Amino acid sequence: MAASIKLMTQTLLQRSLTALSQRSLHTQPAIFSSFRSSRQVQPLEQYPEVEVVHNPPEWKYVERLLPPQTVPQPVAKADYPSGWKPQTADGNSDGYFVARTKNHMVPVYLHTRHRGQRRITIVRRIQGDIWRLEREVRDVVERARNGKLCATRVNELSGQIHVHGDYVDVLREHLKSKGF
Amino acid sequence: MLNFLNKTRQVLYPGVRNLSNTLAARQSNVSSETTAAAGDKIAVPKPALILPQNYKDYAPVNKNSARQAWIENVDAVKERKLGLIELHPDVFAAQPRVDIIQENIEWQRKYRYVSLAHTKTRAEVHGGGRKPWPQKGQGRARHGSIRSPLFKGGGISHGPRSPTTHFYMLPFYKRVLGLTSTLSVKLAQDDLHVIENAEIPTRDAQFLKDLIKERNWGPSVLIIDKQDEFPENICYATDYLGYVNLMPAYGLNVYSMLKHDTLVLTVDAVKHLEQRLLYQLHRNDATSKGGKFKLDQV
Amino acid sequence: MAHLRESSDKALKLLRTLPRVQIGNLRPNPNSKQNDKRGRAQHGGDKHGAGNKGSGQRQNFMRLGYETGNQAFYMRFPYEPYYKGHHMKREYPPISLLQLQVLVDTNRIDVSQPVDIATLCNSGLLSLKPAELQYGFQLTDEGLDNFKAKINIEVQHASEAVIAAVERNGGVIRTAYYDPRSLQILANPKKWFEKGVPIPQRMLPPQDAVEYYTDAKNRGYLANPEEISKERLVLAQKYGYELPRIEDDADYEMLTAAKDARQLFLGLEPGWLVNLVDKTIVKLKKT
Repeated sequence: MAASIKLMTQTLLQRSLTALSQRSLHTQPAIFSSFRSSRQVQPLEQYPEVEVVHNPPEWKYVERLLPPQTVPQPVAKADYPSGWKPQTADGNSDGYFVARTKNHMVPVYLHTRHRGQRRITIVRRIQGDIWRLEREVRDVVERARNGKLCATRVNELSGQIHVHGDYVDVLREHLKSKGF
Repeated sequence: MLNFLNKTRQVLYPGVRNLSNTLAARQSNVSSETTAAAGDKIAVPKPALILPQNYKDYAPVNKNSARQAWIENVDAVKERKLGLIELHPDVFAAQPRVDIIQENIEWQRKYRYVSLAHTKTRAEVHGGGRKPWPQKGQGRARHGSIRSPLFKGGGISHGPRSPTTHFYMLPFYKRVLGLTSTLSVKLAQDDLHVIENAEIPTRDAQFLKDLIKERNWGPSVLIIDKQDEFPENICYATDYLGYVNLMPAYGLNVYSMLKHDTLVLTVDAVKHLEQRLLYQLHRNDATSKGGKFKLDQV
Repeated sequence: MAHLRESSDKALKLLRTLPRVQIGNLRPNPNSKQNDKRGRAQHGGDKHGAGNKGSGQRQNFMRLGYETGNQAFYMRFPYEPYYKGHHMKREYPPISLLQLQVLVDTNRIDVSQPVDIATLCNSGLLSLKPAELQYGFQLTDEGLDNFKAKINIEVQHASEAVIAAVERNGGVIRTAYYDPRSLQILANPKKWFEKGVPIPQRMLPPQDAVEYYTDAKNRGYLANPEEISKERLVLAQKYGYELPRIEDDADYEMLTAAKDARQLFLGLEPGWLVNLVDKTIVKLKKT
């Protein structure tokens, strides 16, 4: 029904369009460009007979093609083979808390500058005692560097720790093992 | 989609409300207090609204910054606390990024601004087609036109040309953060008030003036409701008050919030804003919002 | 938990003691704005990063590859066939098995349903640009040992090891070709449904892809099913794992669900029109 009304209005439009184009055949008014690029409506008899199915049994196939509105919550499972873990710690025992991102990932990132010559690992979304976490991070990184000193920088306002060098995997694993 | 909002909506209607014992006890306390405070004028003892929220779907990033606000009445000049509403920390206690608020203000000023400053070039200034004096032999500097930019009354080179648009789009999530930051700042500075609804008893503007004076609001007040159709009385009352303005929740913006001293939200508007902003902060297709602004985008 | 006070809380607490934030007392962060004026002489005027004389100052850079009169490197050899037909080559952006497993673990894709391009794009984390000659995803073998999902997946390209990794878990993998128009639709099915156009047919693969997609070793969608089941056994013996019997599986229906070679969406036939608003499907009337 709705489709046929649409077709009727389209044919009306078409008629007015042809009336317009008879006057100036070779000018292409920009506002009609979308109609011109689409296929012209043929006589209605040429179109096949259709039926509108309400509550079709195939609707479940349509639903699975529609994306979720918001990021889905992860479901609890016995094990996660990919190495991803849900957050378990709430920061009460550690004195600090590292919040997960919207996509439920650990917020450790690598920033590269100077054509890859300077690599800085950044831990974000830190709440609470950021200096305590910084001492821990320094410990972990220095162990990964075989005891060599490691340079860090703390931004208390934005809750970030910057670590010189690429220690993304080390720090991410460390935070996951602490339950963050 | 938004489970907790449905639940809170259920809580709003007393018929389907089921509160725990402690809540019910607190509620009876509050209601007895409020009726006592209201005196003999308002004799209808309505149960106090306590609107807890379920943070299951959108767990707050900031773990321990719960925010609550009193729900106030507007049916009388005298202030009564009708209940409490819990506010989501990601929206109402976000990091107050004053720099992002400033960027939003600048963007809102600029994106609709078209500069009409205009100067004429040497081609547009009248005259100047003739060579003023011969090239050689006068002992004077060579010139081809009296409208050259070197001449007094000549054209202007590199001057402003009208119309110059200053349109640009602030990145999407800067706009979202601007809203959450401003709401958080307003709440932190006690410039945000929650009212039950926008139903005031009279059309008289004096009532609103008294109410604003009594509550220590304002002087300028922005009242936000969820719908764009406000009740009749408040429309008449604010009609000739330049400093009290009404706005639907979908029109809420950083500039208007800061232009007015006090922001007054209805309960519906609070919930609507929370739902929309939390959706933007958690939407699945957030990456599609990160791209460059295109004129034909929806 | 007062000790977990975040900086935002401190800042908001500080704001309570400060004057009201208003339009008049805002300013950008210090040094965040770059001055676009170039000062002259004593007002900061020097070389302005352009150096002394020459190309830098005058911006008359030589064209790329020009070697000041030498026979340029790019002209030295008469024929370079490496990039022949590069503008026609099909690109298959990689997703690794590790990425796929993370998607499964974080509940971004539902493995109780068959997985195809639309599922992957709807996760919001992967995207496909058919206009840039991306013809679908290839599954790569990173994280192969940790891949544990039982999945019915359809990708556009997969190596032998990846096929073995999927089938070892009792899953099914298929490689299928989609023409650019179908890919455009699958990259965002919701947007396409909103157009209100009948579902088109999917095109058959071009000639140079036919061989790949008819080969049972690649689990091509045009291959003989009997040969595929034989190749599954062969691969299990080659990699030394016991092939789980799909016939006995509880999810037999899901694991064997496959699209027709001309079908775009599973369960929806070409020619149907999906109305998302009224939740109806417009079908051809059967005579």
